[in-house]
Amino acid sequence: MNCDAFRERVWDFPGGSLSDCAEFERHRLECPSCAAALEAIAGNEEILRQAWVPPAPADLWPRIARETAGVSPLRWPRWAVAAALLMGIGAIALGELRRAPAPMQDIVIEDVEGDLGVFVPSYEDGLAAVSK
Amino acid sequence: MDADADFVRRHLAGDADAFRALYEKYKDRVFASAYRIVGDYHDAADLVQEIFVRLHGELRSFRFESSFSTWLFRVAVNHAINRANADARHARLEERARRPAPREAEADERVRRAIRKLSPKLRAVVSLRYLGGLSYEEMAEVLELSVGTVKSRLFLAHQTLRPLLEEPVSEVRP
Repeated sequence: MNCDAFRERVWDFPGGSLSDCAEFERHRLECPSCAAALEAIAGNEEILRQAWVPPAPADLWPRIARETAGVSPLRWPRWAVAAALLMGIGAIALGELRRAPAPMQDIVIEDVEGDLGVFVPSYEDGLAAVSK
Repeated sequence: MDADADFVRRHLAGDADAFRALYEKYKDRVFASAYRIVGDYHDAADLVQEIFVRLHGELRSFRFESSFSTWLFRVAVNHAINRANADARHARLEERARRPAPREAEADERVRRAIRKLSPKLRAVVSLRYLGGLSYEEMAEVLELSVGTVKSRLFLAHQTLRPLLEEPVSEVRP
């Protein structure tokens, strides 16, 4: 076993799940650096596991409850989301159709036949001009 | 049925007590992890508040394929690492270090200060392992890393921590 393999296996050692203990142990005896690393980990783990950590403050839940009050966590069913989307798209499309302007040609004809009609020669005027 | 998944379903169905039950079950482990990562009692409280408020709204995106606790720790640890990185960027570490938890014993204060010497990523592996009690596989899932990377980070964390944990409290500066 080399140092890399030892340091990879070192995590199985404290929990007792190491399968090849003999090889691991042999490397530990032969390599002072790895032996020191193992000792350091064991020492650290003991300190870290025994260290006191504060519990969550007692006023934390009221703060969370205040912020989440009235906020609905409810999930919409997928069919409802799809239906809402389709209805939205349909409504937009319908609105666009209704707002579509009349064809330009109609407007021109309307103008020509209205106030400006006097300036436009009629078909009969055209025939008379050609026959002259 | 998985009890946590059942609580999540009940929460999504509008049962207000279900979210409270999830909070009560995980509050101390989440708080401890957040405290070890950000290193400040009041910041950790604010952070855990943010995490659970966010969770309240985001539980609808929880996929029942993974375990709730893994999902929760992922949200919490990422949030805490981001906060710790932001704190480091704003160079507020000295000020923060003056706000330990109430009634913190001398030895625990030494642990807190030693852990603060680690990078936020190394703090995360230490807190998940020794406070969250997660296995290497669970840590890998939470941190979205390979098991090998988790073990490498843990090894590095221990190497950094060893001299700091051996020092008397007065020598471990905040």
